[in-house]
Amino acid sequence: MEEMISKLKEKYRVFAPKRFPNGSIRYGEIDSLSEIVVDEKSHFSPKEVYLPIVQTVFYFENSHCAESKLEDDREILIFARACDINAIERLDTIFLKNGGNEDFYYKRLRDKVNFVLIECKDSFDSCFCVSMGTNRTDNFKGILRDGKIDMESEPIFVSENKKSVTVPDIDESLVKDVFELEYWRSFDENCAGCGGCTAVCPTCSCFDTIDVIYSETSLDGERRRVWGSCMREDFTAMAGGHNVRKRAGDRMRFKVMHKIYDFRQRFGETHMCVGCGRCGERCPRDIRFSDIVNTLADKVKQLKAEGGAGV
Amino acid sequence: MSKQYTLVIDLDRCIGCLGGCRVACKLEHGTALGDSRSKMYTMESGRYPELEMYFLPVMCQQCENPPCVNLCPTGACHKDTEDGVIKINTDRCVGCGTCKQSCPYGAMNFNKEMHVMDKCDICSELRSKGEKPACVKNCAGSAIYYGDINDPESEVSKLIREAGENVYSLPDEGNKPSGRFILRGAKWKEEEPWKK
Amino acid sequence: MPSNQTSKKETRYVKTACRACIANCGVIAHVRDGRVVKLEGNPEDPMSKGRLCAKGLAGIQALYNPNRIKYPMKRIGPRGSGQWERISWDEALDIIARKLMETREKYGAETVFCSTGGGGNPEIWSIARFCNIFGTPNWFEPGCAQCYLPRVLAYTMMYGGTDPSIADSNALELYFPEDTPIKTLVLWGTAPSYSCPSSGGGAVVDLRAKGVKTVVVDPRFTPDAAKATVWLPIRPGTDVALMLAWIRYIIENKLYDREFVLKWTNLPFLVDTETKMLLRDGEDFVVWDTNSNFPRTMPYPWDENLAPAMFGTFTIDGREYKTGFQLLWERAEPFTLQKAAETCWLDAEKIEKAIRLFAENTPSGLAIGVATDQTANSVQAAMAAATLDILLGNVERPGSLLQRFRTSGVLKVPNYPVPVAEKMLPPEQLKKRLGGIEHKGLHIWYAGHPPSILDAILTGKPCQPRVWIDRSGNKLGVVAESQKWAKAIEKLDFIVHMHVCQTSFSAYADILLPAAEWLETDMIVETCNTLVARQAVVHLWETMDETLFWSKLAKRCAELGHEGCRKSFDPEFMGEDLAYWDSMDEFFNHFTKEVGLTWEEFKAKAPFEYLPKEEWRSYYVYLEPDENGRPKGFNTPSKKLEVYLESMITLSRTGKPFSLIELPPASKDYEPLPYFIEPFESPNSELAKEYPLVYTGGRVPFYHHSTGRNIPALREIYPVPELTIHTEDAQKYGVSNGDWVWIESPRGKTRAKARVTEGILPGVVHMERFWTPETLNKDTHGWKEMNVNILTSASAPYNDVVGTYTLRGFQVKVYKAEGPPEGIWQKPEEFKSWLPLSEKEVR
Repeated sequence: MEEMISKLKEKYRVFAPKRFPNGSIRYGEIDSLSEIVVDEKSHFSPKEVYLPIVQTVFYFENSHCAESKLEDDREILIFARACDINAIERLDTIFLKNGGNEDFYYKRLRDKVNFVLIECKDSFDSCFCVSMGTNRTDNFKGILRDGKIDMESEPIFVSENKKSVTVPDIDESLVKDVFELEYWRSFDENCAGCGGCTAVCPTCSCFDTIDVIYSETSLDGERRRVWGSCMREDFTAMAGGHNVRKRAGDRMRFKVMHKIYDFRQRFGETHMCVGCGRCGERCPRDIRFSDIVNTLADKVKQLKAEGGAGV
Repeated sequence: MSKQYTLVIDLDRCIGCLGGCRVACKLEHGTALGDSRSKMYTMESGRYPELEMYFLPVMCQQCENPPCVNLCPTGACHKDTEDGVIKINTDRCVGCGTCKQSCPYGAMNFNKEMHVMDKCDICSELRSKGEKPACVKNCAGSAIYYGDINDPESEVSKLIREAGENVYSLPDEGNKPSGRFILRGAKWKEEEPWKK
Repeated sequence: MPSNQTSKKETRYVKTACRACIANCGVIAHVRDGRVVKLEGNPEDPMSKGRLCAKGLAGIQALYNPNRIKYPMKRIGPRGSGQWERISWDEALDIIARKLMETREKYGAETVFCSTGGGGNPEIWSIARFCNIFGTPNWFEPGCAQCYLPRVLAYTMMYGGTDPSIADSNALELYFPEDTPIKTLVLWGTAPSYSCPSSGGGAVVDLRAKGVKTVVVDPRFTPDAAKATVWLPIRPGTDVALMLAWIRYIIENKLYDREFVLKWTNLPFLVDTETKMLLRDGEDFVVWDTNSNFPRTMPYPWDENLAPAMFGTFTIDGREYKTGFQLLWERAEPFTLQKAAETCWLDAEKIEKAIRLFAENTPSGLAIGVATDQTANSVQAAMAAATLDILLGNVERPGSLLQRFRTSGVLKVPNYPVPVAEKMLPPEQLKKRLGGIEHKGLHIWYAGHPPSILDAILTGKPCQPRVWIDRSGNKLGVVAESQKWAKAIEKLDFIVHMHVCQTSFSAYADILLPAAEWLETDMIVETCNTLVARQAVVHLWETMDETLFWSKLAKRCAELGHEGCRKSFDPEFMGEDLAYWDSMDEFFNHFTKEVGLTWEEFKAKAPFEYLPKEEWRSYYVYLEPDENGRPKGFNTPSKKLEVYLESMITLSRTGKPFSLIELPPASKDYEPLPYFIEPFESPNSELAKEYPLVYTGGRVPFYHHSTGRNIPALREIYPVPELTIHTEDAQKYGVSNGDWVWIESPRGKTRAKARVTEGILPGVVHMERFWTPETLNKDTHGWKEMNVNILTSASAPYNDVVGTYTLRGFQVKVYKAEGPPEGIWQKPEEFKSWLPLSEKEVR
């Protein structure tokens, strides 16, 4: 197996979910297939491979500027589950088919990405990929089976989750009422605004553009993209001090609507959420996205029944 | 038992000179003006002339249940499995400041130049070269000690034993600070000036 | 691509010594590719033991500071306009030497005066030497009679060994916590936590940790006061009253070491109460023998058959005599605990507790600091402090601060190597030392009296000083009554300022010279039994070690025909005073050969022990036999501890033993015993109605005198001076914590930021000296905004012996100000422009 992977590494940088010393399971480069953690869901998605947490856009030195270059020419091979492979298609939509331009920094990494499917024998407790239609995919070069990469066999996909989620069918006339639901206020005290959910989510794409200088007296520095989060208090802070989503509940509403309404409304077809369940696992306050969506489904049903009065 | 490196500070020795814990630390780590990995509080009590005063240097308390680690969205803020010290992986830090908000002691700083978070890691780099942390080395009162508090034979553990009931920690909100302070010459104040 | 990539270059470690202040703590400097990148304490230094304070640690920010004077500069445009043009060193030296020669020719050498200072990098004797050789008796430093000199004088005259000043690196017994038996340490007007945190401050921490009890006499609740067993928050300026109360208590309660006082002090000797002189029989002195009830000659060291009276008034041949002890008692007698409590604003019980600790929890020692040096009662305080240790026998015993431990022999003059070459100053010039007749004590340091120089400039009497060469920081920040000096400056023909950075004083200069920062200089430092080398780590621009500058100046003067300067380059002529040197290496080789090394070898070897600790720590030196087998005794005329200091009278009348020739007498004899004078601006006077608060000064741990205000890491800690005021007073005068306030004396006013606290004697306020480099180029030149020395007094009355003017213990009022002075920087980010210059920028 070592031979196979070192040969692979000549052509690819190989990423898979592995265990870090502090117990965290997240994507990193591997030297052997035996490092891949299969029996537990990774805490972070593979997103950080092709959409790095911190990414340099260009360097500047005094008044001189130079664009960043990729350090490694190789292709990228990622061992991923069906939900995560489906997730990259959401990111492709956002970065490459959104507004008529392709994002250069996303594309140059994305073009290198190839997948090997990690099969899910049974889904994990928090998964709801079936409800989101992301339990299947054909975007892979091989399958990880019995510690080897299998190029021949047919993939086995999950057909049922322990958790099922009903995504409410919200039409435009209901949006205002959904916005004004008292339900969102229940998150004002509870949600810590830490942004952990958006960090582990395979489809979250928001980023900040920041400029850094290397020291207080330096004239050199870089422009960087760093992961942002709509769940943090300062996400909508503006010049002048105004902040439209100052309350945690407003931010929760925004995120939920983004994942199960806005995306499909704009791009058609699929929802942004792929039901990987990681956000709920990560949340220090144990807020489960699946529960929110189900609750919201009930509320929307009620709204429809009552013809839209405030609930 | 896993290691928990921490700082034990003898407050009877601290004379508040801000040499080791402020200037040495700052220059060692390139901390910008206006910031410091350690903050000094003057704890005064009493009415003239029956007064008491001691100085309290506060750096990261290397909590056993650290809210900064628990809440860090990208996992940049983590507890090193080798020595129990809480460190920031700047490749993963987006400077969101969640850790700073969650720290009960104000020990987390935002490095505005590099847009990442910054904190005391008991001079990891110096320790890896077999050297003492900058504050420990230069402290005028030789007041700062460091070591594995989970090792009963370490210098810090021995100091704590010797100090008996004169050992204190900053208020515990469930985060279990591992830092300890020894104070015999004045009454320990429960005030939390870092919360102002 | 990113320029913060760590280079894999080699690091060179240089063992040197700090000079951010006078403590000279050992430092290890890390150098990479010719740049100093890190500083840390050197554990091989027995005093600092590897510790280093904020000031030393910030040395890199001092070295590469953008405000550095890089090259000699000549003023173009009017004085104060800040317009300079760069000139070469040769040109600068030529201009200065020509001016000196011209002035000497037309008006006399004494109209040239020089000054130095304690802040940063001084080699104090360089100035004295140059002045002696050039022929002017007039140099001063703002310290001197206001700093350390009173103590050096008193202890030299009474004991002849080292004084117990912690900040001046004495009281060496304190650095051995592992085995010193000292049990009680009195910190009188000294705060080692503030003045020398890494050396003395750390030593006192170690001693307290092992159980040594401390008594702190200080109106401020300093860290040392907070950790003391007894805190005596004394009214500034009344220390002698308290000391006399201590003396009285010790005598009355027989707490003194009777045996020691009898045998080793001159207190049993008989004094003629009219002439105030000791009764002599040839070389010996006379006691009243109680065995025979008759006066008897007491041979040195002792006659077992005699039983001298401790106290008493006696008549011999119709003249009245008293023992020295009797006279001391009579002087101290009015100062009961109650009187001291009343005068000094203290609690009598606490005073008693303190005395008992000092006298009974022994061995004990009394460390005296600069506070008492700063009022007109300066010398008397030092005398009284010495008396206290002497009465208890705290002299040269294990645990005593008064010691004559061995030395390496490398340094001949105290603390600094440059030989002063006294003999070069013509006697008629010595007589012209301004203030030198009235204040003879100054001659121990060959120095002039600043107010006398100031008055001479302003009035033209007795001569009109014309040329001022200053080699120090910011005179306008540290001399008393800065505004008077600013006026005086206008009358001078020519001013030279040599320093590391421009300061307020530079604004008035005609020539600026670039002084080397401590990381660029060499020096021999003796610390306990160890010799340390301060060795230059880098050299920037055209900076020069001042010790070399004076030599080059003398050389130019020699070339222009100055005979004395010419001779000063002749080794045979100069002998022990050494011929002037062409390089610092040449200079240091003279001294390092004492230990069999060249300067290069010394630098490579240092730090090293010149003696093993046990041998170096020599106790009971006074009992060591001399060449005749008799005990050496002390370095005084009588070889006894001269508590009854008759030499004071000789000093006032002749200048001996400190002036080379006999000088005309001062207007009054100096007192052989300490006496108390109420501060002339007293809270008990009419003046207090308008100025109700007593002002005191004192250090903070971030600065040394006028230095450091341009260092970002220090300035962000203490950006502006604080006016420390008690809660009750703050309320009375409408001041809240953090308010900007005016502080005003009859002489002027300035501003500070109020710090309201319980930790200061009510009725007293404190403010440290300050000046602001950021307003250097404004009209104020940085010395008016927050400068407490506008309030101090350079006028009489002065201390009789050394001419101390008044820097503490005078009356002020405090009231709220509208806001801070214009243009000053307070926020940390504002100091960014002073962060170290890059490597490119220092080339």
